[in-house]
Amino acid sequence: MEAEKKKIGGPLTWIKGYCKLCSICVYICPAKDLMIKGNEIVSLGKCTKCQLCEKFCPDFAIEVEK
Amino acid sequence: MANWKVTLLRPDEEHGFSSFQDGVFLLFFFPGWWFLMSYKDYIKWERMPSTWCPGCGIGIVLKYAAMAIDELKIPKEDVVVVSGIGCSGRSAGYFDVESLHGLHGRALAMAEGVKRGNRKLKVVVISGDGDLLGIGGNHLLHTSRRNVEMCVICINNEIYGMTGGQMSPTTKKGTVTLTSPEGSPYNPVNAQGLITSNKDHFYARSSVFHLNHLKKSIQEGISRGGFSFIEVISYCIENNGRRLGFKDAPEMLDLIRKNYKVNPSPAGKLGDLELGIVKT
Ligand SMILES: Cc1ncc(C[n+]2csc(CCOP(=O)(O)OP(=O)(O)O)c2C)c(N)n1
Ligand code: SF4
Ligand SMILES: [Mg+2]
Repeated sequence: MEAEKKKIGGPLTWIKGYCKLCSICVYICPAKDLMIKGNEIVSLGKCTKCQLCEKFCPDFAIEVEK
Repeated sequence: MANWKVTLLRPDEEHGFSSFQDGVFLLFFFPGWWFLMSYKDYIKWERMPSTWCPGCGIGIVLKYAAMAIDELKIPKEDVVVVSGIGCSGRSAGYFDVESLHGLHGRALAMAEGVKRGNRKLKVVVISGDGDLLGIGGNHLLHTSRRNVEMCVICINNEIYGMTGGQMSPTTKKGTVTLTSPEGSPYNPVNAQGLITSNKDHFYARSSVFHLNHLKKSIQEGISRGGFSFIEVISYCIENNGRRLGFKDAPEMLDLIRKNYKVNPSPAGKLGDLELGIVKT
């Protein structure tokens, strides 16, 4: 089964099908780029590609293009 | 890197190459293909999302164990992941390698059986504190004494997570849990002391916040060629967070960040709130 994916702007891909909205990415992002809006993760366009969100996500639910 | 390889060789393939057909295809056209494997090839994507609670650190350990195995370039057929019972014990089922999920507390006994049956295999045990130090404590004592080659990753949430948050052998004295409403009256088991009392030992303590340290510990543990024990601090959010004073995953990570510091060169012994590697 293929998980549902969504481009959320810049280099970020959010894998909706895996995300449990634990908000670790929102906390860990040093650029304060990510936000939870309703039931979705949104990007504010400030991503610096540091990949901390991808490294900390326990559910493989966010990917940063290198 | 991963994207490049996928788009160049098979644009429709999502998570790298894992099936037998792909292996034959790649080996024929490009003998060095396994250098391009990524940790994603070691995970069973059809079983995701996992059953763990939102933000639980066990998912982070799963990812870093897969990364460590991948970076050591161990072929999939040479790895066996063994788990006991508990939330942490579910890890084995998410690895796309041979795995064993058996009786509560018997992870080390099964792992030793696997290792003695086929010495070529690299055995990785991922299980909980209750499983390895509580009901399975006797196996830990003797498997570590016999120095059987395996890497044991103990996810220490200081609680029996799966059954609702009862006090476990690693619960710190005074901690309130479901079964110790007035604070645990006992001192916790000293895993470091138990492992390092063996003449030949490898003990590491890491956490789900200190990710580089976690990966390095697992890699060193796997490639040691003897018994290695890695304790990973990761608090249980759902069942003890409210009693420990945090309510979600970011606060749990913050608590670990505040409490624990990495000691890069411990002199024989780690302090209670230190992370590091103690080995001979
Ligand atoms: C023989 C046996 N006794 C008790 C249980 C109930 N049981 C299931 S999981 C568990 C505790 C697991 O704790 P731990 O190993 O710390 O894993 P965690 O859920 O905290 O990751 C217990 C007592 C069982 N399944 N089998
Ligand atoms: S009960 Fe606790 S240990 Fe188990 S998955 Fe949930 S947060 Fe993790
Ligand atoms: Mg536990």
